Amino acid sequence: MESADLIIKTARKSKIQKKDIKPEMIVHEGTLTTFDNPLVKYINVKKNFGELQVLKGIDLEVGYGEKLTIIGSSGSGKTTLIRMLMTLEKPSSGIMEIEGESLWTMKKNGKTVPADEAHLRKMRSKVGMVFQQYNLFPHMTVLDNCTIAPIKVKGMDPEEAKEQAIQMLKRVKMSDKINYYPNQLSGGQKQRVAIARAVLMRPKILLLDEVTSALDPEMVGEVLNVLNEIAQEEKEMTMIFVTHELDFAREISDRIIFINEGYILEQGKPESILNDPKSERLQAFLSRFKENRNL
Amino acid sequence: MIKIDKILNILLRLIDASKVTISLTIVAALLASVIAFISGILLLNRHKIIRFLVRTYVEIFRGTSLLVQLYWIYFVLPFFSVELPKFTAGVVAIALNYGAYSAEIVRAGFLSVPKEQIEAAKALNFTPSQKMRYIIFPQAIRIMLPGLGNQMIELIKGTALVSLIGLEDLTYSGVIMRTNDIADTFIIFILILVIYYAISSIFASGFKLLEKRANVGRA
Repeated sequence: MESADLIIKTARKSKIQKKDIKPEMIVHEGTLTTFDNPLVKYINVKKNFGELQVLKGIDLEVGYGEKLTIIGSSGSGKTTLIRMLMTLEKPSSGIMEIEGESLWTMKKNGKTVPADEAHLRKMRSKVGMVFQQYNLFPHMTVLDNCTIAPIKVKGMDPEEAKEQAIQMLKRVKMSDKINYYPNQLSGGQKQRVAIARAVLMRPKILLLDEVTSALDPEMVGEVLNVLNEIAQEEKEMTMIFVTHELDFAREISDRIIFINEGYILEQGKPESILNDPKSERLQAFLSRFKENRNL
Repeated sequence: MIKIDKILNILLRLIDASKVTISLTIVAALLASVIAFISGILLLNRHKIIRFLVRTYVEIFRGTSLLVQLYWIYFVLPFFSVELPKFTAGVVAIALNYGAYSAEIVRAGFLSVPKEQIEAAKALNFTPSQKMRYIIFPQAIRIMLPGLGNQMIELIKGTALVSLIGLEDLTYSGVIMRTNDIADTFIIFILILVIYYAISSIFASGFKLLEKRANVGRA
């Protein structure tokens, strides 16, 4: 919330709140943007924090098994976009659907009413999230962090949950630390556990919110390697990445979308987006990254 | 020279009286905890009117003297046809008073759990009650325990006030024994101090154990 407050204050100061005209979305050639049977659908979704409009009208479809990366400068609304799918933020207007079913409303006696907790829990079971700050439970061991939700939420047999967790922790190369507490781990190790914890819930959609942004530079690689492997192996799992790691995005994404000032400005296949940006905004955004890398 | 058997005799009588102090402590502490947890959680309720009512209770019982509250419950309430036995009056007054103090500790403890932890629990699709039980409470109690432990010791010492409504606790019997033989004053009150200290130490070490358990996994 702090950063959102800051954005609001800055916005008020500079009075950038003027009427926007929705820009034409640039879709690179050969990009699949609509699906017969989309897993996720945003229809004209808007989100305000107080007076600040973070998202001004998002239309987006995500397919089954798709690996999608969202890029854009800080404050462009990319994190908000996925937090709404995890039900951590509620859109101000617009429609969001998962597997054709509305996320924020439900049918009751033939009427459309706001979603209740039971509906949200049902929808949430299809979504998982890995956070920038890991958000592991500090009072539980690595193993307990990974098994508590399968056991308590999914009702899995504890032995079965433990077995699956150990297998999963092997994949993120953390199986030698199952009895450690989060405070005894490095940032990179914590994030790998957090990835394991999220994947173990077998969500249809896994959201990854700047998962390497809080890490020391030397730990970024180990986390991206693990993510790369998981993205390759989990063909069925839809993954939506918010990231500044463009090389990583190039390697694993089926599609990249560029968000600018609350709109999706440009989208396409990774090579095309990163090598041949059409809009000035995206060109400027990418050249800033190249400059930084040369530093 | 004070004779050993006389000291022993005083000590045994005081220990006998401290049974009242200990049982008063335990019953009042349990009730105070229940009150503290309910009030602490209600202080975070989203309904303003509920917060206001609980806040009023907390402010009144924190802002006035425990002794006066005890007198109210024992001497004033009978005028409104509420007559409580001494022990019950003591329990109620102490529990309401320390419950109000501790409500703030409970509230602060729940507030100390980072919102990211709650988001993580949501992302794993815990039900609201699972979220409370497995994620919020274990982290909040760790923050609350040192404060609650302090309140516990305060409460033990606070029980001495019940002697003023004539409940025969440790302090009361000391005062009575002193009137029998004024020469024993020194030895009686030394022993009373030691016994209070011993009782507090036992409860304090209990809290230390709990704190140690709640701190598992923390540096």
